[in-house]
Amino acid sequence: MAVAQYTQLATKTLASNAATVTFSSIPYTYRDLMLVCYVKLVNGSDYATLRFNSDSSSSYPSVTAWGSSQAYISDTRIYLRVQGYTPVNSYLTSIVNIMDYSATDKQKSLIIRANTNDTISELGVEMQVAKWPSTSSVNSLTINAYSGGNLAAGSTFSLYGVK
Amino acid sequence: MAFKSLATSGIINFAKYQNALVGNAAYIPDPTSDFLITETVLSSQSSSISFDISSLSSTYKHLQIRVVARSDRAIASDYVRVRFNGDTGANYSWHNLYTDGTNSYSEYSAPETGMHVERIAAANSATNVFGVAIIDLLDVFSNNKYKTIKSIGGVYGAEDSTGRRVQLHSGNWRSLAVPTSVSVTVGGGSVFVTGSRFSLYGIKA
Repeated sequence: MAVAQYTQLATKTLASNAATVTFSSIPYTYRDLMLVCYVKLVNGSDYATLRFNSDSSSSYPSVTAWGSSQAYISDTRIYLRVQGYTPVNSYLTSIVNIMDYSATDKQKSLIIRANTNDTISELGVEMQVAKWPSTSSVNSLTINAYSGGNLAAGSTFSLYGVK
Repeated sequence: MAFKSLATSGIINFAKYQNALVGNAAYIPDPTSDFLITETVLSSQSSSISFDISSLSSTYKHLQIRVVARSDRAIASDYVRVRFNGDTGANYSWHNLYTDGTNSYSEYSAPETGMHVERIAAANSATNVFGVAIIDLLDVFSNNKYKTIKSIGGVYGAEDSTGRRVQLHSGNWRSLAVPTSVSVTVGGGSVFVTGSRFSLYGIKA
């Protein structure tokens, strides 16, 4: 018997600026996770970033291409959009698929699509594959601003379990 | 995209934003339209997996296949072929955009014996790394259209241009027949390793 592909696990909408958004106690009963972000940064030149299980020491490698260029990066976080920054009046849309998130025989691979309606010349449409090099099950996600500043009020984050 | 909330966008507080979606989710999956049909997680290696989709046409309009896979070929990354109805004739085409992080490329195929989807991990990828892909098969049960797929995916298995990829693919099967099966086969005569996973989803109209 077919079962629903997506189940909403939690949605967080910021009523005021906040440094961090966390999804914790993620159940292991799904195959993938999908994180849908609609995020604005308070600082004019900033990035929204993602970590797993509060791991701020591992390197999270990623490879990405956007409108006019490409890059590969290894940092202690994953960028929800790598190219440029998210200007203060612009919202970043990012859909993050975390594949086989609870598998203990696999490092965790992500497929990320992102865009923004910023006003700089390099328009932000981006595809990215990233990795958390751990075979631990993902039990929490943390989103924050790269600069240590705040995510802006009005930003929304929805986490779905994918069967 | 559905507007579910105007609490942020300022009908009553006159706050101004550049995007009408502010305060709403960028994408809201519909739990009444998308369903898991079946799934295969390999307990032993296999060169191919095939889904019987002959009974799905009356219920679903589109299909999606999610792949988390690794091959045993002695290279940094590998590719898979998607075929319909066991057709191994030169009735397919594909093209892609991809990057290794240093350069970006585009490719296209002449008529081929399957639609490529890339890239999955292979034997020279780091341990426990599997490549990933989300493959959408659009209007797949139509009998007046050639069948089109699109996919996004890639792998970060090694620190070189063949071991790290993110790719967009599109392909078609030039047949008006209604598919009864769809297969995913690893390229290069190799096999998918144990733990490789293939999930089939149906999407209603």
